[in-house]
Amino acid sequence: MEQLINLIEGCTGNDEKCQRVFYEKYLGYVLKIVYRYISTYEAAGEATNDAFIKIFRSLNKFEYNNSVNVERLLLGWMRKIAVNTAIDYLRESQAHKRYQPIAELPETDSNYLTGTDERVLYKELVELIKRLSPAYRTVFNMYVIDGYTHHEISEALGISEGTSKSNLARARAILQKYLIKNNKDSLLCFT
Amino acid sequence: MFYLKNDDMEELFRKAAESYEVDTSGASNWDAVHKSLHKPGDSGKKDKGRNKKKRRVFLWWLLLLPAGWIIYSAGKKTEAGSTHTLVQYEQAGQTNGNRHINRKAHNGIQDMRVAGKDHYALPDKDDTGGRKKHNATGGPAGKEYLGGIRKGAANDKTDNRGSSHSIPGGQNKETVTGEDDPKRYDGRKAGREKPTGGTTDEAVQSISGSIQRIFREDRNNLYPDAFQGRLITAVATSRPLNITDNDSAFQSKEIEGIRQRYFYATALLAPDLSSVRLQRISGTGSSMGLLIGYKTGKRWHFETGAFWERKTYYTKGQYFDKSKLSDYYRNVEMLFVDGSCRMITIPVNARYNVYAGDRKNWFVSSGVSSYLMNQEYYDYTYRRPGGEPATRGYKYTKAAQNWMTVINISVGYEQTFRSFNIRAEPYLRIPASGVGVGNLSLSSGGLYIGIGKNF
Repeated sequence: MEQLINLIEGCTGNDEKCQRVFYEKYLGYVLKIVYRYISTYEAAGEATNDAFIKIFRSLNKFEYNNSVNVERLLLGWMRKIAVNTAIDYLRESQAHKRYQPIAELPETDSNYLTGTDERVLYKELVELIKRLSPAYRTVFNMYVIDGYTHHEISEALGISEGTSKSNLARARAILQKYLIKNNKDSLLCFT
Repeated sequence: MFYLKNDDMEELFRKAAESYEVDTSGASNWDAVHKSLHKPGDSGKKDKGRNKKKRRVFLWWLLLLPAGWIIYSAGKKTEAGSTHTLVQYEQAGQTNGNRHINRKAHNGIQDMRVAGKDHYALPDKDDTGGRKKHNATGGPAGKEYLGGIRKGAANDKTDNRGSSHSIPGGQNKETVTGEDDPKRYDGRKAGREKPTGGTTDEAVQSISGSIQRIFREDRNNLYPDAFQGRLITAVATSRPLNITDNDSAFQSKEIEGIRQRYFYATALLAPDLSSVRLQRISGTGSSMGLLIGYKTGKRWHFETGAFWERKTYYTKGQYFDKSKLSDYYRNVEMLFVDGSCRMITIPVNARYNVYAGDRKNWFVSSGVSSYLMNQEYYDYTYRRPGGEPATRGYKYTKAAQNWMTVINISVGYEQTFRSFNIRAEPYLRIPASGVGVGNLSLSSGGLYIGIGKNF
């Protein structure tokens, strides 16, 4: 924890080395968040770098107040910035309509679910989310995965809470259909 | 078969989102991030903003000063004209004229009436003594009433419809109002007092004085010297004044003077060709809208309006200002940009008729325009950190407003039919400063064709 605090303070003091270390350490984390919102890898990379610039510029406003779990607070704080950056990017860019599957990665044990009869790759699940239309995908990501309330979603996206709820319901229905289709061999029943 | 609850499904996706791995090698661009964080401060931005404001203020003064001078001049002429006796007339095909008898001139004529001890009818005076419009109806088409003198009054004894008036003391004693009411223009009703001069000669002199005052203030020379002399003589000798064909010159001046001031509206449409710094033109846009103008005299017009425009353009990356883009694009090499936009253009122009005929005008026009951008679309082609080119499209809906930043120049031809006009006007718009997201120096040209109506 002390190392992390020193790193944060170094970044706040505009130390280039600290900033680079910070960037390398959390690049994957921020990219994973942004890539769930933005279809194409290249656009996600651009948005990720934009998010880091915002993170570094506002790191002096991050309050940890000698908290025990600084990293958890930091990850939550960066998550908000990453999500907001992705939403802003989607608003301006026309690239969101082009779906692109996630680049192939070497398979590791962590990619497989345990405790279920059916083996579903994490990658395939995330790809199912990316196949949703931008409106459904954004609401699903914000509500289910990033923990925003419908009120916060409506304010961030400029939609009504009712629209947020209906988009979420629609996203769930589509994902259920995808899951059933993808798991024809073993039937999934939703209750 | 196994059962999966909805909550469990969401938990599944949540876990997948947290645990899935993604390749970061393609997204990593520390150099770009570093450049954005550690580039030298751009204090020039504030200076640019200040210069922009100064330019805008200068353009406003450039427009307002001559406009103010023109309005002042037009106002002076109107003031001068108000000392003249004006009569509304109706000629075949001419419906634009409105003249009113000015109180000064009216009172002068009242003096004439009292001194001449004759009925004297004024065409557009009501009982309250105020001015009102007068329609010279009933008279034969082509008859003109001006300066209180009806053409051919000396010989016309039977025209007792509409309004006419004659020089008091003249042999034609048929002075009638629109309703044949000689009492209507009783000077006592108007609150006018009789001249206090004792003798008739003195009264005539004072009357002449009134008319002479009118003539002295004749800045537009509507009453040439020869005519003035004849009128004064006619009054002094109580003889009728015969209007001759020689007087037609200033009649037409009055007629022209009547015709010159009016509002008009013209609908215009043009193809639009736009270019950034005279680079290649990438497509044809369009411009359509409404122009509203006011004609202040024979030659000068003031025009403004609103045009809905669509433009397409191309520029090399070096001419595209990246300061409003995201940090990523600010630090990549921009190769070229294809852009298009939708905007509202508000021009403010002064127009001068180089040749002003009865129905044809050749004109030049100049002024400034404001661009209110509604939407901009750009395809950026840039070089990625790896060196290969890439293209990405962006749409901007935040409206950019560029007030008075474009100079308009145009020439044109206008043909008038009754109260309608047809207009052809090639134009050029030159930017005084950059417009849009990329601060582009965007020039435009086209050919307006339009049809309008005079009011």
